[in-house]
Amino acid sequence: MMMIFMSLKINVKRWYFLAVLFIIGMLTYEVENMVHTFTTNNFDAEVLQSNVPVLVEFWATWCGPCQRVAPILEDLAKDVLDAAKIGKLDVDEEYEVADELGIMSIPTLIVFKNGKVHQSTIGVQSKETLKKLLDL
Amino acid sequence: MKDAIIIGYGPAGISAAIYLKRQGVEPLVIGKDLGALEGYDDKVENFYGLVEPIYGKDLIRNGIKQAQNLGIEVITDAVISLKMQGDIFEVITTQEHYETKTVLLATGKTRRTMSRQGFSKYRGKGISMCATCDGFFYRRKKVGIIGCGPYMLHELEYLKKMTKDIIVFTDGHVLHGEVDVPVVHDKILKFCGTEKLTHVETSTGKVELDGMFVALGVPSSVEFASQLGVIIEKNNIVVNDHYMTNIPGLFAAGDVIGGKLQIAKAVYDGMNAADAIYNYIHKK
Repeated sequence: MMMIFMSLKINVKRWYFLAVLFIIGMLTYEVENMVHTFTTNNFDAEVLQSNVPVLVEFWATWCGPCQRVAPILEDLAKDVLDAAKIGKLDVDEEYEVADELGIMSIPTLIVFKNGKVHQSTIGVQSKETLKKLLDL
Repeated sequence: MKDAIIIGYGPAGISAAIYLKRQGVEPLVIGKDLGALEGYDDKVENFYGLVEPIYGKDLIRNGIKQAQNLGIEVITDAVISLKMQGDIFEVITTQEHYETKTVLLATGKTRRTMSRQGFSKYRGKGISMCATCDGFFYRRKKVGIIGCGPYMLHELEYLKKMTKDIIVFTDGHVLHGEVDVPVVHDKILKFCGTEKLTHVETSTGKVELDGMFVALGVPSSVEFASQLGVIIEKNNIVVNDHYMTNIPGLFAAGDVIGGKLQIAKAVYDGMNAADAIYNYIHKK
């Protein structure tokens, strides 16, 4: 990125500027469609204060079934675009949030709306079920 | 290493085995009982080719015999766990360990939930159906495990790595096997707690617990499939058009995938699943 901005200063040709805009656009697009990683630090801002519904998967590296949820979430994130936020939270690393919510089984999937638990489910779910959970 | 293990020897499992055998794949069929048709008192009369109505269990026994006559290996044993090492499946029964490239779940549906007060309420809030999934949350805590046979002993071994404070609840059944932890033989009446499970009430008193694991009888295929991360919806295993679950190499057919709970449908599923398994093995 730095390289691009530095070149921008030197080279003011219009096509270059457009190219940079395109790259930034692509990056933003990628960011909006990815599976977020939620932590104790960003949970309030990213999940509870979010303007859109947020689906959080509570998972852990040692949890077999959780590994099967990852591709489903990636797929879901591509489908919902900016209508919802999709992410996961590691219950070992970020145990404060997991404990606070009383997570005792993983994978647990919770949809937060307006800072509150909207719906939750335990176990691996299909993309369609998760969409319904998000009311999408 | 087997090419295919079929779990369940009802109409779906046996049909799949027959079609696989015809395609040159040697399946191993593991069944534990005659499934839904065993307890079905009325005779079956709506299935093609039955000149006379026949008892469900006789039909199933005939199917097993038919497979054996074709040289298919059919054994009676209960699968207590299904695991994966890379893309190889490990099928653990009460007697043996098997390795296989593919598995077909065709166990039918005999869902054993515990219809006791508080069970649904505390499911996931102290009550767990899977030690390997949830055991970690109960490290050094006091837990119970409900069960009386090999499945319970298998889950108990895992729990012992997490905590030393374990009580076995047989829920009024006879304990098969020996354990070196305390055993409560009384029937469980009620699961109690606040937000989370705090204790259970038995016919003779109250036992405080942080968690309770359920490992009664033998696990249904829905249970061991969910431990692997298979998508389950409304207690049905979700499969694609090729009868494959979201885990490559793991297939399901018959009542476990829902739809009409009919022999004709189970046979159709079994036939299609066999084709899908054959294609999967030969594509690799």
